[in-house]
Amino acid sequence: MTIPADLKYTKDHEWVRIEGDNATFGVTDHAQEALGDIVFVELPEEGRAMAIGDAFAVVESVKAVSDVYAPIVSEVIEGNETLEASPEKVNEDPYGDGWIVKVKVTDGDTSHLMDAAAYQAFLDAA
Amino acid sequence: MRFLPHTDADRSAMLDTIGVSDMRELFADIPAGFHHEPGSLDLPDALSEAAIVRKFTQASDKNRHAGNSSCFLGGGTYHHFIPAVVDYVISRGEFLTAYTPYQPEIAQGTLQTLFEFQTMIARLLGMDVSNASMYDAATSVAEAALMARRVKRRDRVVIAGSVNPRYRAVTHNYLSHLGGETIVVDNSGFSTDVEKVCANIDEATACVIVQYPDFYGSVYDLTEIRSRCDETGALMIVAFSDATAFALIKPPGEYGADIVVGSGQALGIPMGFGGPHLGLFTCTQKLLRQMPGRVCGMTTDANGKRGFVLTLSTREQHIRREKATSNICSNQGLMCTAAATYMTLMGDAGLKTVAENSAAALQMLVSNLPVDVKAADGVHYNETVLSFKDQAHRDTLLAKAGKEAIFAGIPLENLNSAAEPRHLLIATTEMTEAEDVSRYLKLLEAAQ
Repeated sequence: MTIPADLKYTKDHEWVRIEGDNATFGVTDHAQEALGDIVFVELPEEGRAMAIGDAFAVVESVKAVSDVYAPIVSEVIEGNETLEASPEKVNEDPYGDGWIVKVKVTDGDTSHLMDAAAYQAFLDAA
Repeated sequence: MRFLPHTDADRSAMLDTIGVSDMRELFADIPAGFHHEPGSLDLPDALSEAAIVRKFTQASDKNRHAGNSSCFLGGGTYHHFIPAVVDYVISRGEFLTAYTPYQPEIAQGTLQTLFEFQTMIARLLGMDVSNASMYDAATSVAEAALMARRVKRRDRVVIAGSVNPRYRAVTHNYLSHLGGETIVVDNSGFSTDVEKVCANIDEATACVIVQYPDFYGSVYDLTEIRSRCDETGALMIVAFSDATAFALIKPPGEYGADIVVGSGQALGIPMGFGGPHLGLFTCTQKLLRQMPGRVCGMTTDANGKRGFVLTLSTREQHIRREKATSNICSNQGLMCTAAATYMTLMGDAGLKTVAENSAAALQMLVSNLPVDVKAADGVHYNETVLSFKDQAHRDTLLAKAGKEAIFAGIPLENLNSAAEPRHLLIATTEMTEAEDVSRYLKLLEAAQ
């Protein structure tokens, strides 16, 4: 199980990578492992404004259908369209090719998110 | 002899408990004039079972129905032949009494039947995938509109005025509380105004809904509509009423339709006063995940043996109620079984014969009409509109037809209040024999 040190995490197992004014969201290694083989990812429309906790995408695995929630206030730039044909990338490379959406950061406050150590502790406690 | 489980003592105990003195007091709100004392009605003695059967058979023999008349009614429901095997198969307890039988461990027969049903429907319509059915054509059309809005994230829906008014009414009912715009494109004559439909499709349009053959039976080219959809990004939804048409004419899938919906009643299901019928729902592989309802699939079990399962039902309300793609995704399992049995029995060749004979009967009628009765222009499958000089002319025909056990057609204004009261929507099937056509033509001559 990997938890990259440079990312921030939510209790719903999303990760966020902030790079300047933009950010990328995905689901964590733990999340993809818990979900099992992912067969479909429903992406949000471009330009959609998201508040913290808004369900913006749907990840469907052989076991369950789960919403993905926005970690920070932001606006969708693009969804990862390669997931339409290859949803398994979320399993194979959750922090890389399996990213779900790129956004423009509206409010950069991340004080409600966990760093890698806190997320590890959160998983250990669960 | 009556069987009443309560004794007099039970009854008075109950009356005491609720504080009522006698039974009559319970009905005090009903005016006294409507109360009858026991024995006050002057009824004859009870009849024997045999006498009752005789009495009611004599009464029901007076009924006129498609089976003992010449039937020229259509408009969404068609008098096709139903082989006896269909009733036999669907009457089997395993099919008839099962309710939501989707556990693969115990329901292989049902799941396989639904899988075969889906396969045959998808082939007939020229589409990638079919779900395991919906209630009826009207709800299928409405669900298709909702699906297009989800897929395109647009809320403008364009419906051709030549779509069955009942389908339009149900769709309007679904959409009227969701915001967005629903445009009905008027058609001047008894056909689909393709140019006008295309002119109404724009970049904000989620989908265009057309019927093919349309409500007036007109068969037309969908190519331009497809092109306009490609230009604007709208989905092309094609509705239909009589599925047998596609054994003869180019199916909607070959025109590149995104969603094809309609009625499966023509495939082995009785007209039955309008129900239960069968809603068909098909789409392209690309849109599968947004399709309402469920899909049965073929797979292999742990031992490598062929088996059938519910492959897709994740978006149904029993798993994610608040995010379900549809809140009515119940199917018509028994009607699917009837349709699957029918199609299996008929095969490609049988279904084609049905379609050819249905179309030929209409041609025979239309090409021999008296001069003062006009059939709608253009190409038709098994349905068209007959136009009379005036209402009196048409109603004379209807009156004569009533006396001669001929269902001569549906007065168009009954389904579309804007129509002039001098038209009849008529349909033929393989059940329309040459003699039926001759009777109708003779009647038309006599009504002049």
